[in-house]
Amino acid sequence: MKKLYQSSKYKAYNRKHARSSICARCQYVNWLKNKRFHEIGLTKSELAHKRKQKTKYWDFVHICAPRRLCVLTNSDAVFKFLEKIQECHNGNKKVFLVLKDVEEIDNSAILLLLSGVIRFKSIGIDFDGDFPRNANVKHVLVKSGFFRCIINKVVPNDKYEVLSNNDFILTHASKRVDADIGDAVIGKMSKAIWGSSKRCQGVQRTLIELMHNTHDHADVINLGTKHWWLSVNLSDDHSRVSFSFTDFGVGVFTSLDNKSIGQKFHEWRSILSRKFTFKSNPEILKLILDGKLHETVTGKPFRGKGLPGIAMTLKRNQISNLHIITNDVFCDYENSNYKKLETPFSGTLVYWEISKNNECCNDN
Amino acid sequence: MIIKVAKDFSRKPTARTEVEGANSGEKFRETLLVPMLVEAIKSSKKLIVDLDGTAGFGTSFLEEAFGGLIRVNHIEYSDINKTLELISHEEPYLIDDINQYILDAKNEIK
Repeated sequence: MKKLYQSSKYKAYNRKHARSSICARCQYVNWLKNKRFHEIGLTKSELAHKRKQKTKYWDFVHICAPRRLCVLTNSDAVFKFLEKIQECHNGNKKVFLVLKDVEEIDNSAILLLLSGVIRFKSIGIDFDGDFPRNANVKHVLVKSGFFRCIINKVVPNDKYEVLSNNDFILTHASKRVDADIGDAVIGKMSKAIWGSSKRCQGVQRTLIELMHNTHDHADVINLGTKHWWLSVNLSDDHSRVSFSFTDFGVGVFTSLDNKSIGQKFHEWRSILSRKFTFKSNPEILKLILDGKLHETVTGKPFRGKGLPGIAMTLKRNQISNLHIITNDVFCDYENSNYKKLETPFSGTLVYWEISKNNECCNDN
Repeated sequence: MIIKVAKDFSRKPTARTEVEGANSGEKFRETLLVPMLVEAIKSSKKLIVDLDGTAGFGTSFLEEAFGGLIRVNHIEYSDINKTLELISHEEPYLIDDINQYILDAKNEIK
């Protein structure tokens, strides 16, 4: 046997085998390192889910959605979830959303999911997810067009539109101020609530103000570069329409803090602090919505402009249930509830509703 | 002389300038409001602007359209005050807002 192992033929075979064995081992070690790298920061349930999906989605970042995926009532958990998605977007990483345990979802969360899919796919990053086990949540997500967006190709565009099969969840996005969208959506939804097409000037004004804000302030350097996203949802009993509007800009406070010399709100904090005492951004947002910031900094009343103007439409009963979320502030304006978010949202999200009890005019 | 914004310009007025969106306050002012206002001033007539019938106004549209009369077109405040009359049965608060935009523009250029 010794003679065999010393033969040149065997030694050559042994060398070749050793080389390929080392190559295979190095490849395995690199694969393992890469796999472990993708698992950094994942919770136990996310890891367990990922390992089940080993073959198809092994290089996706698996992000588990909270059970209550409701922006208005579970905002901290939702924005923590959104932060993970945003990190993947910034890092060009593929995302797999684990939605199977979601038991409750609201319209603002649907808007965040829809905008997430389109934002990822429009820049060529894979985005996928599973179905919720809860039948109601699954039905709402399917109706909203979320899974259609996952399946279909998305081409980068200035305007996007996702319509549900029955036209009761409508989602639009654009970079411009577009009154046509607001008018079309209000006309359609008002037929369901009032039985005939109506004009809701308060809603239209709110939409135009928000679109303007996104166009002018969502990016601190350039105008008109960020999309705004609007989702409109008719309730099942046709009594109420909810509007969710968002942009993924810098948020109200970051935008204000970056105003340069010569701009209206430059050094706004020091000017405001001479007249009012405040400790945190929630207190400042209350001053903003009451028009105090505009009046203090410019010396003039706000005259219907911006966020205080939107708050005014609620006081005139043109809209209801106004919520504003921006940077680290959550505001339920109607109930005067202002609180600090644990996980800030880089952007602005505004939610409101209309029903038969709100003011509107007949469509001529 | 009368301008009905919804019929003579657009049922869906939009943004401040054409760069931001179509049917802007800038376009309304330059194509309709200024020519008719100048004519009304020359012939000492009233110009009535009827704001009813639209889908709704953004404040930037109104500020650019009416504040811009002084800021951009340099029409005298006294002439505007004498000539321009606003109608808004559906949103009465718009009249006060617009009058303030015109007054603010006058104070800005002083």
